[in-house]
Amino acid sequence: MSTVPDSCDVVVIGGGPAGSLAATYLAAQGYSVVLFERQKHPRYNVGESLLPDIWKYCDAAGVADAIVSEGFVRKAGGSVDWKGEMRRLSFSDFGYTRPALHVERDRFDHILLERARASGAWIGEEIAVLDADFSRAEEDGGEIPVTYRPVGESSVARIRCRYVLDASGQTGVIGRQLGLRVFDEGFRFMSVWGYFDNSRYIAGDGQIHPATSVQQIPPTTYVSALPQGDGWAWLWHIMLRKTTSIGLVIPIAWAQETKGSGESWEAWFLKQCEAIPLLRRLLNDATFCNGSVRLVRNYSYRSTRVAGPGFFLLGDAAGFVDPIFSVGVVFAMYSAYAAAHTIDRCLAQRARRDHHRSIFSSQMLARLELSRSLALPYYQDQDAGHARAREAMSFSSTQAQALMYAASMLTDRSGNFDSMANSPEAHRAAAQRVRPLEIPQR
Amino acid sequence: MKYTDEQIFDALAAFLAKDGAGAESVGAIAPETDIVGQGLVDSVGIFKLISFVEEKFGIMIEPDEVLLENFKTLQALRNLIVRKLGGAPPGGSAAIA
Repeated sequence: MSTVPDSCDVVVIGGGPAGSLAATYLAAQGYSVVLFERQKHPRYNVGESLLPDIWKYCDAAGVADAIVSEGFVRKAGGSVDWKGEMRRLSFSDFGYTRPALHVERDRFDHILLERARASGAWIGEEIAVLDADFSRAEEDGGEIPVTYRPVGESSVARIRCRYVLDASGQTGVIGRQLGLRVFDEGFRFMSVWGYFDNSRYIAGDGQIHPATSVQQIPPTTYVSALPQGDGWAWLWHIMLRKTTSIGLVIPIAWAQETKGSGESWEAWFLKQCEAIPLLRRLLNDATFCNGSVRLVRNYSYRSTRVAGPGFFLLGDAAGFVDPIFSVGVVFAMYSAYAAAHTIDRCLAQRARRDHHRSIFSSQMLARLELSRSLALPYYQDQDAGHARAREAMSFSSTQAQALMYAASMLTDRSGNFDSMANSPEAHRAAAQRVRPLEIPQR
Repeated sequence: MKYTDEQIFDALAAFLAKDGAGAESVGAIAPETDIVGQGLVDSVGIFKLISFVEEKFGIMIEPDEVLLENFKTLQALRNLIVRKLGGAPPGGSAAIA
C-alpha cells in the first residue's frame, strides 16, 4: 500500500455504499479524495434488500454493469403477512423495469469500493478516523486536520483536507464528536437476526419454491407482523444466493420479558422463528448457520444537523429509523449524490457555500423525516417535521409515491402515509396493484 | 437582466431534455407539463435543477422555497424566477461566484 497522502480535497470516513459512491462521484469530478475504512473488504454487513431505486445512483457512478454481472438474486417484490392479512406486490406492476436485489453486502459493498478506487480515490482500509478539527474549516486557506490511526498501531497521523464526509454508519465518527446524534426514545426497538441454509421461499408468483430455484424464479422479500409489539414488530426473510437472512424487529421490553435468564440470544431467536407458522413451514428442511446470530439495540436515531462548516453526514451516519421499507442503502446513495453535488458547488462558489449547504441540509432532513414518518409508530403525535416530510414526499414521482403507499398499506402504516401524500392518483394506483396472497396449503 | 417568458421556458426545457430523468420518454416539455409527477425531476434531480436555475438567472433559491408549488411545472418555475429577479436590487444580478 502506498503511503497515505498528506492532504486532499475531501476525506471520506467509511467504505460502505454512502462513502464509496460519494468518493466515486467526487473523484470523477476531478477532486482528490481519500477514503478511510476501518475494516478490510470484503466485510460483513446486514441490510441485504435493495429497492430498484439504487440503479440511478449506480448508473451515475458507472458501476451498474459490475453489479449486474455479479449475478445477485433478483427480487420480484414483497409478500406480506400482516395480522392474518396476506398480500403481495410486484415492482413490475409499478412500472419499474430494472430489478430490486437481494445482495450479500460483503460482495456488493466491495464492488462499490473498488469502483471508488478505479475512479481515482485513494482507499485506505483498516484505518480508523479518530476525529477532525473544524475550528478553521472554510476560512481562507483554512484546512481541516483529520486524525487517523491504522488498526493495530498505536501511533496516530494527520491528513489535511477541505471537507470531511462522515459515512461511518452507526459509528457516526463526526456526528458523535460534535454531539449531533439524538436517539428516538419513542421507538425502543431492537433487532436480532441470523442465517439459514436451504430455506424455501415465496416467489413473485405467490408459490413456495425450494432454495435451489432462487436464480430461476425470483423470490420476494417476505415480511410478517409479529404477534407482539402492537403491530410494529415484524420479521424479514430475504433469500440470498447461498443462505437466507432472517431477522426480527421487536420492542426491547418484550425481548427482555420473554428471554429466560441464561438463555442465549441464539436459542431465543430460534424459538421465535419456530413460533411463526408460515416461517416454520419455509424453514422445514432448512439448517441454521451456527454462530450467525447478531443483534443491535436502540438503533433508531437522527441528527440535529447533517452538515456544518467543513462536514456532511451521509447515510446511516446521518440517521436510521426502521428497516421495514428497505430504504437504507437508497438513502445512503442519495446522500452521497447530494453531498458530492454540494461540495462541488461549495468549492466552485466559495462565497455561496453557506447557501449550498443549507439546501443540502434541508433536503436531507426532509428525507430523513419522511422515513421516520412512514416507519415510526405514533408519528403523528410528534409532528414537528411533518410539513418537511410532506415536502420530501411531494418530490417523488407518482410511480414512487404509489409504491410507497402500497408498501405502507401492506404493513398497516398507511395511516401515516395518508397524512404525508398529496397524490390521489398515487393512492388509486397503489390500491389497484396490491394483490391478495394465497399460499397453497401444501 | 431581463428574460422573456419564452427564453425562460426554452432554457428550462433544454436543461430538462438533457438532464431530466427519462426525458426521452416524456417528449416535449410544455409550460404546464407536470415535471415532478412524470419523474423528470425528483428528489435527486432537484439539486442540479436548483444549481442550474441559480446560475443561469443569477438568483438564489432559499431552502424554504424548494416546494412542489414552485417546481411542479415550467410555469411555476418561471413564476419563481421572475419573482426573484424582480426582488433583486436594480442592476444587481445576484451572482457572487
